[in-house]
Amino acid sequence: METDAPLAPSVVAVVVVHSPGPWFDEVLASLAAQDYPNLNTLFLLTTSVGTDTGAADVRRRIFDRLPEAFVRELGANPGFGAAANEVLRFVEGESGFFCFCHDDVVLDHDAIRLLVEELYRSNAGAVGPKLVTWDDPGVLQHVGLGLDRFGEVDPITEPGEYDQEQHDAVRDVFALSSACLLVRADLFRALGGFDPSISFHGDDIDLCWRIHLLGARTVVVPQARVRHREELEVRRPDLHHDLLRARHRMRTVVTLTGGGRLPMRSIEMVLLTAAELVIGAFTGRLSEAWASVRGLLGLIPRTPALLARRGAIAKTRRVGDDEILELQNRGSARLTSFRRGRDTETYIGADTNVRRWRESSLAVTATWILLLIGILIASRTLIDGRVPTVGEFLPLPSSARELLNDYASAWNPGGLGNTVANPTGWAVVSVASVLWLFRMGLGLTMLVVGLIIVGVWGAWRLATVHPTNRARITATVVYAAVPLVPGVMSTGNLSGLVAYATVPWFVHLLRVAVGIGTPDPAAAAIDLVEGVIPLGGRERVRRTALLVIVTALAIAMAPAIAIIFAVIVVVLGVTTLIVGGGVRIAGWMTGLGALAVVGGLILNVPWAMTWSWADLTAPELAGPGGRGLVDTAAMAIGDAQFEWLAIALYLPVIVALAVSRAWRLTWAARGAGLVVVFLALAVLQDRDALPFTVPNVGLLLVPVALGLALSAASAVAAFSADVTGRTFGWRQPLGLLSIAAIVVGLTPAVFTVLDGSWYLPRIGAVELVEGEMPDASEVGDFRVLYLGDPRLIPFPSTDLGDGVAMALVDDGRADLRDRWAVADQAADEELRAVIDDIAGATTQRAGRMLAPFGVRFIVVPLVDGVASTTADPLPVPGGLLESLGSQLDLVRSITAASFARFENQAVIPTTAQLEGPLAEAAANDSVDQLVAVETSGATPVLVGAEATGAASGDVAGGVVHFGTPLDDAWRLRVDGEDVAGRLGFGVTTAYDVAAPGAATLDYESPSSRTWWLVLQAVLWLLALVAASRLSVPGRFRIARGRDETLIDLDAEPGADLPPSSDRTGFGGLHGTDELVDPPVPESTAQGHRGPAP
Amino acid sequence: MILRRLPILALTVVGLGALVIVGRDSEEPVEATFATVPGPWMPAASSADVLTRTWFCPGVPSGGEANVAGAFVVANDGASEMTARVTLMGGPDQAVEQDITVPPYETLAVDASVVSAPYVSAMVEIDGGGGVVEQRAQRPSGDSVGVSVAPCTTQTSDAWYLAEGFTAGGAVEQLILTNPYDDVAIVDIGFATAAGSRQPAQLQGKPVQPHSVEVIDLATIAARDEAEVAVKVEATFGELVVGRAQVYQGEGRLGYGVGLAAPALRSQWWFANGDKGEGITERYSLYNPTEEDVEVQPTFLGIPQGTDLIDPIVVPARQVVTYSSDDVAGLPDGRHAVVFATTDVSQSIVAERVISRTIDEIPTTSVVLGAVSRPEDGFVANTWTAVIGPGEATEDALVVYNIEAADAVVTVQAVTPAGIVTVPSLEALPLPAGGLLAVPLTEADVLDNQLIIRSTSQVFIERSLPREPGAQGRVGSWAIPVVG
Repeated sequence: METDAPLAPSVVAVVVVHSPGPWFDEVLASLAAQDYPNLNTLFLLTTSVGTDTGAADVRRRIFDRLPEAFVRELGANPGFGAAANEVLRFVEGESGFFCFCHDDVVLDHDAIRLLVEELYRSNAGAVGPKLVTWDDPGVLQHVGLGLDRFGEVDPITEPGEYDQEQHDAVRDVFALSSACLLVRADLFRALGGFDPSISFHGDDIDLCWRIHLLGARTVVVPQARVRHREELEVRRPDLHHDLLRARHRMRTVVTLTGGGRLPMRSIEMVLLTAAELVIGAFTGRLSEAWASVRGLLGLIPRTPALLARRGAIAKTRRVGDDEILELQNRGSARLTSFRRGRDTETYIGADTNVRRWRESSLAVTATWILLLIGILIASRTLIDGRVPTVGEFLPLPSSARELLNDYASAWNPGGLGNTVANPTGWAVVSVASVLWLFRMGLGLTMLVVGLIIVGVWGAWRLATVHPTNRARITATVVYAAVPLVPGVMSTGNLSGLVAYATVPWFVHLLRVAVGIGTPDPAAAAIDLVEGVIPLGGRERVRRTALLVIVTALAIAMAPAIAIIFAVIVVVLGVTTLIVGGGVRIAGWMTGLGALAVVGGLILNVPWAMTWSWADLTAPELAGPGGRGLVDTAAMAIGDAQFEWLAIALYLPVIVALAVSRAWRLTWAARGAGLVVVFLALAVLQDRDALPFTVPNVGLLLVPVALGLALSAASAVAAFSADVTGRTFGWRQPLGLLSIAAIVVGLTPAVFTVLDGSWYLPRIGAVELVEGEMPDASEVGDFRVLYLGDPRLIPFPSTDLGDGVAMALVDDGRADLRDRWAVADQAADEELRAVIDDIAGATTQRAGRMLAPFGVRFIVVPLVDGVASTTADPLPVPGGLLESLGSQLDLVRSITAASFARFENQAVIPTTAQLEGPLAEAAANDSVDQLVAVETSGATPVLVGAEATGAASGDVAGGVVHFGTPLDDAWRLRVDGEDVAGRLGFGVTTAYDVAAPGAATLDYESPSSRTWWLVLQAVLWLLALVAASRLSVPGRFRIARGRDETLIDLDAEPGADLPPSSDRTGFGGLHGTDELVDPPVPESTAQGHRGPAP
Repeated sequence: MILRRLPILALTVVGLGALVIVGRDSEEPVEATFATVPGPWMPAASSADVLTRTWFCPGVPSGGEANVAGAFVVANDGASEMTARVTLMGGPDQAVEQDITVPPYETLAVDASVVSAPYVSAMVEIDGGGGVVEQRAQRPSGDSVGVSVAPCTTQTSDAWYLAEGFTAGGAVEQLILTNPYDDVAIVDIGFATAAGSRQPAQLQGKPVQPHSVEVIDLATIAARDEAEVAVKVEATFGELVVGRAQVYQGEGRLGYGVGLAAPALRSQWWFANGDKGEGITERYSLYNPTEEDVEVQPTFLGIPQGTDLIDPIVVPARQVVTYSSDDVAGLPDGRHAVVFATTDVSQSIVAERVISRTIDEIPTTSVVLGAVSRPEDGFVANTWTAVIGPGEATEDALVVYNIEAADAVVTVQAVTPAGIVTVPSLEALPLPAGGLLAVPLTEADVLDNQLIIRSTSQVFIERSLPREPGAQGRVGSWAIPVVG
């Protein structure tokens, strides 16, 4: 076919066509409308277009629009690059240009002309247009591509980025999309075209990289605009796109990177892939990471071919690797992309969802910087020194491994010791120790301060239900600044702190699981009750699983949170109904929330099965606590200043409900619900007006704080959206007043920051007590019995009635393990009976009765510097000191004024050799009978027996006493022979040793414990898998019916190419249809991976 | 206005409003209670079932001298054998423990001479409920031998008071401080005389070693030759038992007595067996160790014509005052009861009575600490017991005062090896309302046996025993109220 010789250089538009949709006509029309004077069009059809009828239809459509076009059927789809390379066979000459196009691009009428003009102007080797989205040309798709040294593409633009001419400068880019790419024909020919081994994804990158190797430029010409559907993944669901991207990326890097840099680059890629795998597991990008691993491994068998290609390319390389590196992005394109991705988000409108740039504001950054600085300053004495041992702030065990071993053991040494499932929290803390690099001394500080930051972060994440930064900042700042934080901190209320950290996340993840997203601010004008995203089943499961895991972690650290979460779920469900959020959303919220709580409990099985209601709730006081409404509402539960100012934060609760609309009202209602219900519980608990016990006030007030934060955010959001635009009335002053109230309510935080220690005392009561304890190695193992006001006992305590509680701890330095309650057992009842005897004055020899339990000291906390101070001490429970003081064998020690300590003169060490009448008394069936027996003088033996470490030593013949309940898992061996245990004193363990010998006392966990651990591990693994974005590999999926057009990616390249005689016609650059075989790169011989679309 | 806001707005306003209304008044916090510890009371016996009940005795002499003896008498009025452990305490590191068994309805005397010390105290731990312990002390007094009987107590205390002290005429006034505990007790001792109150430096911070008895002779310190000496012993650390031994040998007094001090101050002090007449000197000592003056109203009771209004007595702070019934206008001769009550019930004192009866020109002096009702509830027993009764027939051995305004009857039972026996002649003795009843103990069943005195009304019962066998003089002491 002859064509008129044009003045302009010839351009051949090469379009690879695969099963085009209705849009194809628009594509054809755009080509037909080009104002470039010397344009030829070549359509390369793949036979996978379908049947002959399908191909014929495409031809007809082409010729309808472009009667002079050349159409070539390639048979099976060889992939875009391989198909496009056919142009080298069909076109002769080197003075023109090839404009490669996908079959789903629509070029502006001047696009090719502008590209050619700029190519000449810039003396570029290849140019590309600005690609915009098909449906909305105002949204950018690509303006060239960046690339880092690992082959990761930097898309430069962000998803949904509007074209505001911000990228309209002509500039060099590393790569151009093959969707529309104009390249000099001679250059393309010299390069041998696209790498035919790259079937999809990455062919353009590879081509452009090689263009740079030849010293040519690649330039983007934004004035030339092209609409692009970019629906490869939709049109080819059969392909493993992640794998193809990874495989081709690595192939390109390995073959095009200079030899000097290749070894280091290879190592870097291995490390990067490993890191990607770890991070991917937590970010939902595991499938991509796994694809990278497969891609990396896939290089190994292809090494010979890769080396061959490197050799071929080396011959044509004109530019050094340093220059190429200069053109590539510094750092990681993936990280850059991720960072940019954080700057956009999806907004949910009434009918559609849109992804937009986040509201850009320096205020967010400034707020976070100030918050973090504030938290750090407020924690400065904790960071500079250490966290004092106050309340539940007990030191972490010295070793994370030891903690994990203890968790794995079935023995809990707390109280009298018990074979029982140990708290999941032990494992959590142990695993979390990696965060503080196993420096356990640092761990508590990081844990305590970290929980505050996590809580504030959670509030921020939850506040993203508001599309405006102002509302988000308000919620975050209010949650960070409420007096509850110094309240729980100064009282060492770790459970409260865990609740503070997790409650916002619980609500956030619950709304995410329900599908409640950020409403589109553009929908502010309408009363959009909620921005709800329809979720697929798998996604909902994933989100729910994440919620379950967070719930389980929270419960593991503080079981009482289960109750808080459960009530929150009910409150949110009910308020959603009341505020018109719909039965469906309320149902999802309640259902998924309940599921999360149940799931959280199940993940804590078997430990959770040992709980009693009393373990989860605050210890009972004798009556009203006397805190009062104002202090409770102001969250003045610890030692802080001016907390009463926080009462002002309740004004926005009402104002938000009164003035807000749309989703702001919905969340204001939820906030109000949390405030009213939990404040009521706290007040009624304080007044002792509840018929049941509830968790301690530190936990109860966390949802109140969150409710206040949500209400404040809604009030602020409403002030902007619902108040300021209206005619002046009552709303404006009320809105202003609420904002002023928020400012006032935050004032106490200033004083907290200035204090620098969260008002924690410098030294904790436990430290004082421990400082005066003897060394167990000298006096034998013993226990310490705490008796008194439960608010002052720094360990989980057992209620004794009338506002008195007890706790039993061993002689070792108390650590975080002691803050978890131990399941009650029969022996505890015996111990309580002895204490009842003291209270009832039924004997003055209670020391002897306490002796079998190893109780050497009884400590009555008086002043802890927090709940009870020297200036305002809590009264000592009536008759306690007197009753203890009246005991003949309890000697009150001279101690610090913060506690009273009685030493039991009749104590029997926890492990002791008994002789004489005492040995005989061990056969008694009750400790009551000990009142007539001299118990002092027992000899300590086998000191330091632990579940994870045996105690050894010599024992004499007679009775070896072991002050724990009889348990077969404990085993005493004397000279290698097992000694059977029996009940001692009716409550502990006694071993009758026939003859002196070397003894070993050790503990062997029952096998059932192992099975429970396995079950628990499986449950956690299942939850983690469900929460991840892991998908079942295709080969393991249930087989689905295959599309007949599916491509075998492992097919040899070119295998499916049709014979050249099948072409229907072509007009070459030189006006000939003579076929000219292009130089085929060596790698082409290895094949490509199937047909392209 | 969006309608959907109304329900939640209303609920929130109502909810918060309700909270304000409910919580507007802070509830007073209720203090926790571990145990209801009974306040210090006079020695009392209880039949409540306990694991052990411990009795602490004030001390008896055990010096090995002639006619010096002491014993602790453990009584078992139950039908079962009773076991107990007796710890005899003398000087530091002298404690001796003995296991004892008391057969049913019998008594057992534990000789104090096992421990050689000027004074020996005992701690008796009785297994199970029941059992009563008293002590009997004997030492020369003038030309005769004085015998003193005193109940032991079940309570230790960190404060003890004595109002009636006398060191004139060579009288010996000794404090017996017993620390039955395993740890040292630290005490401050002060006293008041007619010249005022004093806190001798050597008696401040004085340690009393564990399981030991410390004897302090007031005459050897700063209270020599004083006709009025009141003492307070306050422990700054620990608790103890304080007794007092008095040996009178001049200045109108003769006799020997050992008894418990008062473990607490009270606003009312009762005496059942007061006496006025020829050869009788009755003096009440009122000691106010507090920092405020106290006004005390004495009321004489149990006399036929009732009592005239008597002017109240002002006891200055930290002072002791004495009050003689001879000075009471209109008080008839004969037996009377008396109660000293502070006009302000929040104020308290301690009161003791000393009576010297001169018979055949031989005076016999007896000192009795007043009796008090139970501090928690004002309880006064209607059943009393006396482990040690007279060994010979004795008239007016028991004096019962009925505090109620209703007539009552009194029955005396004896605990004999055969069981608890009601003595026919002592059954249903009439006791007038607010009146006194003197009970003779002359029947064989009641001699040398534990006695149980039951009244149909609340009563105070004072015991009046011969100061020595065959002597006419008496030594007074209270019987022991029985609780439960």
